[in-house]
Amino acid sequence: MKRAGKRLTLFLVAVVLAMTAWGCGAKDDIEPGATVVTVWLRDFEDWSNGVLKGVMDDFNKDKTDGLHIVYRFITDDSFGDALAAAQDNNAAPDIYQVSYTNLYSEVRNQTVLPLNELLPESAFADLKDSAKELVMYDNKYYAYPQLTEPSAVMYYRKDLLTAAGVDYSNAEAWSFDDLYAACAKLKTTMPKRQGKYPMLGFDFGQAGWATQGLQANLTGGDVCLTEDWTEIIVNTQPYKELATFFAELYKNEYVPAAWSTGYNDQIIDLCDGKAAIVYTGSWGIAEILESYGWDMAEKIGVATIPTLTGGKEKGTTATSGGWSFVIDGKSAHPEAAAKVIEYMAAGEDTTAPETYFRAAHYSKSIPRKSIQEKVNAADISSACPPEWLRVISDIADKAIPESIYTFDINTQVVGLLQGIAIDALDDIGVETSWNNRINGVIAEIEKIMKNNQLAGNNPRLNNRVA
Amino acid sequence: MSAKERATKTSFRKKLFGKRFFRYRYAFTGYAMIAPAFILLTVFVVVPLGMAVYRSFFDYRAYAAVQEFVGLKNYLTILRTTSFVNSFKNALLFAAVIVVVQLLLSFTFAHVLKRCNTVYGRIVRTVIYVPFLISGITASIVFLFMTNYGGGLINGILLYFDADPIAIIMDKNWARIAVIVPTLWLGFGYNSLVMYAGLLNIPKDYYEAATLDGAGWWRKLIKITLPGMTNYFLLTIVGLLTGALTMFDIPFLMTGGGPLESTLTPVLYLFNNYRNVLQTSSITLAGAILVMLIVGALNAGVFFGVQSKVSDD
Repeated sequence: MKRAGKRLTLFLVAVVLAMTAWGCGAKDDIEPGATVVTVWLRDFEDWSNGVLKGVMDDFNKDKTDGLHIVYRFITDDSFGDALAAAQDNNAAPDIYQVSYTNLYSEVRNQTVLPLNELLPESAFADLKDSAKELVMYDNKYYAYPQLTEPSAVMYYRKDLLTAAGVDYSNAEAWSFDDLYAACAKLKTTMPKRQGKYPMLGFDFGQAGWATQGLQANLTGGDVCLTEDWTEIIVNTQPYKELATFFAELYKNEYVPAAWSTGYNDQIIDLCDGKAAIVYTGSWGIAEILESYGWDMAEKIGVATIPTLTGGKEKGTTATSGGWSFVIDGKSAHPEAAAKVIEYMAAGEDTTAPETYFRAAHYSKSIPRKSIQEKVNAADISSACPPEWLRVISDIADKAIPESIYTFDINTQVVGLLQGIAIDALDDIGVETSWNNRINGVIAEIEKIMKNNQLAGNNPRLNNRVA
Repeated sequence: MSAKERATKTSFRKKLFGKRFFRYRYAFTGYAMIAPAFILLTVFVVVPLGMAVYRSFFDYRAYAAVQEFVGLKNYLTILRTTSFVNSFKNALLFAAVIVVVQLLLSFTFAHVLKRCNTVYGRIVRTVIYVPFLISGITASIVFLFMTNYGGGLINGILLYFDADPIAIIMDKNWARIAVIVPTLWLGFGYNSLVMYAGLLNIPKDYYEAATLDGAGWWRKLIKITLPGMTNYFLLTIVGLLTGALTMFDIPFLMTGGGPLESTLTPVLYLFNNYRNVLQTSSITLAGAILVMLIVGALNAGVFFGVQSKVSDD
């Protein structure tokens, strides 16, 4: 019995050792002496992960370049925690993805390296101006844009609009009034008793960032504060117009008072016929073509969101969201990491970005001029309706970066808009509601600015790091 | 070792530790048994807490060569933030409603359970515990389905009767109800069983003697039941208070803290504030420490405020 026990113990120890050796063993076929570059990416849609995996696997097939990528996909929810823990323990990856809004935080924390000396000058010269301003602080490039995504695009169902007698041929130039007129007609064919509504607009959960393009459109460029962050502009006429827009939509039940689908996924309700018009980001294009196919795509039109005055030349109507690649501030081999970024996004000869944008059905905007020219010259009709690409590119080129002042200011503005919408549901006029609320909102924003010492400290304007 | 050396060594230990050393010298087993909990708590609670407190005094920048000491600035910044202060007011309102309603409901239902000593009673005792096993996230999703504006169960019924559907995120009162109801539902079974255990723990003799003395149900409740259950009330109040003040998942999913921050809780505010790219993460840490201190202080207040039978003993 004792002997059997010893044998069992020895067997178990052997199994544990074998499993440990297997687990610790090299899984990848790494060329001898190669520099290993670790890359952390966010776990997004299957098609997106598939393309990026393919790009990195192709990179690793070359056994003569002395470089090898070890990649890891991490869910978006836990990415920040995983990265912060890794950076605290000096175990961060060499390269990781950062959103344009969060890049400033990385720069401030000194966790990313400036790329000016690591990537060739031509890589930055090839960036569109709208992309450059997303990644530049202190006259240095701290990230290389992978893609940009306009945050606000209008999608509409041609068949549902036709059924309601709405002429959508000029949808690109619609004003608020045109939108109201279309919604009024759609109300007759999209009854709320069937859970259908004319449109799904900006939901209040996401309106803090999603409406910033429209805010800039109304004000002529600024969002909540003047460019130098010295004055609050929320109490001006453009914001009253924005509040009136929300009040009209809610009072007339053109949008549901509440909705379970968030702003990012409203395209699903458009395809399911629960709404005839929806606002969401450019990523909606990939969702339509990947999940619903070309039959559905033929029923859908894409346009710039309506503005107060409408017209063909609307200017800014969206912010640029999206992702960029950065090199960690403590990377042991930044030059090798830069080579990988060149292959994945920045290189002159790399085909990886084109592969990615095609797989994305051009739902992501292209930050590089040369690639945009190639795409413009190519026949893209099998990946995306060319008209959609034209609209998205136009919106992206005029898009502005998302604000980086304290998010509490956006929360206050959303509170103002939501408060006026709630009052509208209770038949309280915009003028009365505005007068009741605006002073409180301004006082709160003043307090936030003072508390966070914002006045005159816009890092983007001064191009410096606070 | 000679007898003299042993005596010298013993004398030295006596000097060093006193008589207590000999009293506890065989307590090794006890220490060994608490060691795992002590080590785990130290590694996963005490040390991280210490690090968080330390970091909260700095303008922390992950890779900066030198961290700037800012004293209490981060605490003052978060305390001057209206949304954070308002979130505490919301949490206190939730705590007050949840503690009172849950205590009343579970205390009443415990009496029903005590009277219902049949096979159905046993089934009910098992079934009511089930919600406690469900996470707040799952419960929120269930309640979201029920309250869905486009066609959830509740709004479906309202629409059937030609009434307007309820948009919980556009009405402060409905939003608060939408947070409170799932919270009560989740804790109802557990708290009822705690109360039920408390009721069973009171000797029947007391009631029989009171009946002989002519006491009615009210007098029995005031003089026997409530004093006999003081510790059970204490346990329930502390649990409910802590749960209500640190609520996150249900308001996050049901209302997102809205409308107009009416269901914003301190933890939800801190979660949102973490994305603030212009501020150091130390401000969020300072906020988290403040939440911990306030919840701890309130719980301590409850301990001191409610007469504990154990302390009496």
